[in-house]
Amino acid sequence: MRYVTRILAAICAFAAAIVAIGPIVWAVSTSVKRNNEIFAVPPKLIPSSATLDHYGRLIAEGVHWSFVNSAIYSIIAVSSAVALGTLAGYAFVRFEFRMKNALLHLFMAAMAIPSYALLLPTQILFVELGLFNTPAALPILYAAHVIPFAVWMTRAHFASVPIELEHAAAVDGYTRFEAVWRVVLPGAKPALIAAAAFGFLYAWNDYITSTTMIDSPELRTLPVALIFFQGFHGRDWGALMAGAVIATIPPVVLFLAFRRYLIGGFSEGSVKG
Amino acid sequence: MNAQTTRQRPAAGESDPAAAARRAGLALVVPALGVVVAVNVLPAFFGFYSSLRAIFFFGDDGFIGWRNYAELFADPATWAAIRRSMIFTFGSLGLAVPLATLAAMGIRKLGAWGRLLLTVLLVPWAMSPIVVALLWKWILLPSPGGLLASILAHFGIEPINLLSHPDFAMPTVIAVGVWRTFAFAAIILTAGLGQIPADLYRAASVDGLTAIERFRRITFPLLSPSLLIVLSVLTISYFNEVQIIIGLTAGGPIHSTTTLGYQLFEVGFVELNQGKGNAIAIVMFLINLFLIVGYVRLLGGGRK
Amino acid sequence: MVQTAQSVVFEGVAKRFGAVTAVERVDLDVKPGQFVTLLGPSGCGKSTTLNMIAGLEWPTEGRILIGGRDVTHLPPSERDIAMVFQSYALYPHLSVFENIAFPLRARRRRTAEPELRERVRQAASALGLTPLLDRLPREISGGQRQRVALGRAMVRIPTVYLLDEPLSNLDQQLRVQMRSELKDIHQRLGATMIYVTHDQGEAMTLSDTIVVMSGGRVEQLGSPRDLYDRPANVFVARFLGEPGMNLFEGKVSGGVLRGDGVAMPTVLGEGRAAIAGVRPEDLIAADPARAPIKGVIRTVEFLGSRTLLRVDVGGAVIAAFVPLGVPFAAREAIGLAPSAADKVRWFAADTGMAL
Repeated sequence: MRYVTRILAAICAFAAAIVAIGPIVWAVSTSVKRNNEIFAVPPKLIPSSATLDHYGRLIAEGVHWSFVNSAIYSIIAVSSAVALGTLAGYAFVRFEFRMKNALLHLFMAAMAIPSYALLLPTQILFVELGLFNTPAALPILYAAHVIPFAVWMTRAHFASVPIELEHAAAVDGYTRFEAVWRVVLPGAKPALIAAAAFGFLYAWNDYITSTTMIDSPELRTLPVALIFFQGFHGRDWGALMAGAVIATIPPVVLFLAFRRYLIGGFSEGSVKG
Repeated sequence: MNAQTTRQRPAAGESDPAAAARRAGLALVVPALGVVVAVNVLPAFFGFYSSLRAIFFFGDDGFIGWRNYAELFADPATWAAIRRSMIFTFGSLGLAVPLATLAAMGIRKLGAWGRLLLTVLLVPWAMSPIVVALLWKWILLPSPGGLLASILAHFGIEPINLLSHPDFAMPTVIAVGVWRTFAFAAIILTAGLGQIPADLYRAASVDGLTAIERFRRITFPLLSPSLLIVLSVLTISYFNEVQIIIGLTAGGPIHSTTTLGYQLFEVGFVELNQGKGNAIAIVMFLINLFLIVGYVRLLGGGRK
Repeated sequence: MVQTAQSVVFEGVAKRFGAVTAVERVDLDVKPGQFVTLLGPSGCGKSTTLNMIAGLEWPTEGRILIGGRDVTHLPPSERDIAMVFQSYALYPHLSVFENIAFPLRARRRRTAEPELRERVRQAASALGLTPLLDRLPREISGGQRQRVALGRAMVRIPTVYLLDEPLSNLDQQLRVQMRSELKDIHQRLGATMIYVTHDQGEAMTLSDTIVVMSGGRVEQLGSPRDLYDRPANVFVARFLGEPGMNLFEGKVSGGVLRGDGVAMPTVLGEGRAAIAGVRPEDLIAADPARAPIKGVIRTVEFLGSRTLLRVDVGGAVIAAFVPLGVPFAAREAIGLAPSAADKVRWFAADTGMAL
């Protein structure tokens, strides 16, 4: 009986894995097929000969520049968000100051309320401030959306670090900054990685903020560029899937590399509440 | 000697460590706070202000009071959009939560293989919604080349264009959205299951409970805090989902997938009727706030 | 190792948090090389006092001098002290070697690599840690962690060692062993050590001087022997000893202190309310009819070398050590008397101070 349930579970798991991964494999396959095979009936999973033509067409259309934009925006946004979030997260644990609880609740509320509901007023505000359609717009917005999460993650971690560790370092002859840098932060690596990886996934994958804040083709992010490409070449599925693949590689590689920290971060967060 | 006496006086602001710590604490929070306030708090007020004005294509035609709201709520399309938002949100929840629960139980049962399964199931979650939409559009293409249609044709089922059929578009959009996100819920539920002491199940088998009884009497009640977290996170995220809809159906066909979120996009960003768009944004903001406060109450109450 | 032991002086040091007083105007003079213990129940202010010496907290009043230098408002890093924490506070991401070397890598006392290695090796071998130098703190036992914490303190030759309940996380057997080792280290290094504990046994065995604290005040200061034999007040009398001193309250009439179950001869003046204190080992069994203390045995505890009786006297329970071989049973009536008149300590009933 137990043996049967195990087999059943394994079969279900395998089916679930196929459903999760299959479409991605299909996209990769489409992206390297020649056009005549793309529309073949019945469809073939493994192309008889592979080609990188579709990727070449994306480059010919300048889509790779959007890839670069996405990377720059995401990296700037995530590194500044994690840096600022870590400072705040540390302050919330180790310092007493006025309105501390109110400010903490503000961060938590900012994390809970999705940015989308505020995007329209933000757009008008950015137009007024002269930030609309500038290279600074998206790094600022992405950073703002990631900061509350970074505060939440790092605060939870710092709260679990005994204050004696910092005291010991102070007694051992280190300044407070040195103590935090050499003793507290090395242990915070999982929290920092989780916050950064999550922030990167968010920023890299965003479409809606990007499409509403950027007009110029040369400032576009990759998802927006793909939608525009689709608008002009709607039936060029080979190139579209090639775009899907290059848009998917960075976040999926990042996720696979740091899955332990991401899954751990969310598990701990949920168990601790 | 003189220097020492001055240093001794703790009231002198500079040598008082508590006051210095207060300043340092605030100084560390302020940069993060500034960015968050500028981008999350200011727009909320500014949006409300704008929603009381006639703004079209960034041109402000002045104060019009509650007229944007009056028009919004007088328009049956708004109510239809709210209804579709509810269908999308609760439809997605109804699909995602049972799937995630099943997945979580499987993941725990399979041990090391389960962790691998969780990783595999999470790969779509790492993808961009817009890319997911593109990908599924291609798979759902009625033919030639559409993968699903070809598979169905193999079983002799006539292919239909799910995304351009008014009855099937919404369920399809829901299914694709859940495909991308349900595994995230599985993380939290797997962690929640891990918190249930194994002894309880040993005791239950000694007491002769069946598998279904074990689920009903042990797993479900002890998992409910995690379920509540999952429900709250997913409700808010599904209610605000718009990217997958933009990518798959652009609100169509015949507005059958135009949720409130999509309507905000359409009115505010495409038609550039920003006064009315802001009214929708404020309504969405309030619904979000209502949902969050509701769930915080529920979660807080459940803990006591 | 080089002798650098320094004195520690408190001049009217007080620490207040708003209206709450954690430490009330303490004066203290610790000579170089002394082993001084701050002893008291939790919340008595002993840890706050230690933290003020370390510079982890600043006093609201008074001055602290280490080696004659006013350090009252200096940060911990500039005081050249070493501290061992109750939780050991080992750096979890650093190996045992790096943990011990950590103070030597601080910018202010940057040590050349060969010398650093030599000093870590010396400290490690003195503590028997040599085979563990490459391990991480989570990979070694509690007793070994405790040694690493000590090693980290010893490696830098500090002015003062501060030890905050360093043995309280060890099991009983290890605690006794580390206690002797600590004493040995102190004698070998000739260092000034200030030790915080709530365990009077540790305080008695280790210290040159014990400072008994309670409610933020110093109750008494002196050698272990002094404190044990001549407690300054009922708090110290009760706190030292295992079990503490028995106290009998009463009023003097006709040259006898009369209380509930007690009739103790005294030289105190007529009508005076007083407390008589007798240590459990100074009580002997006596004829119940004429004994100054009359009671009923509650429990009889066999301790191996002797027997401990718990006796109900009036409303109180007192303790008495009796030799083996004398048969006692619970619920029996018993008479007790001090073994000698000078074994009785006298305290004022109203202030609790010794008379």
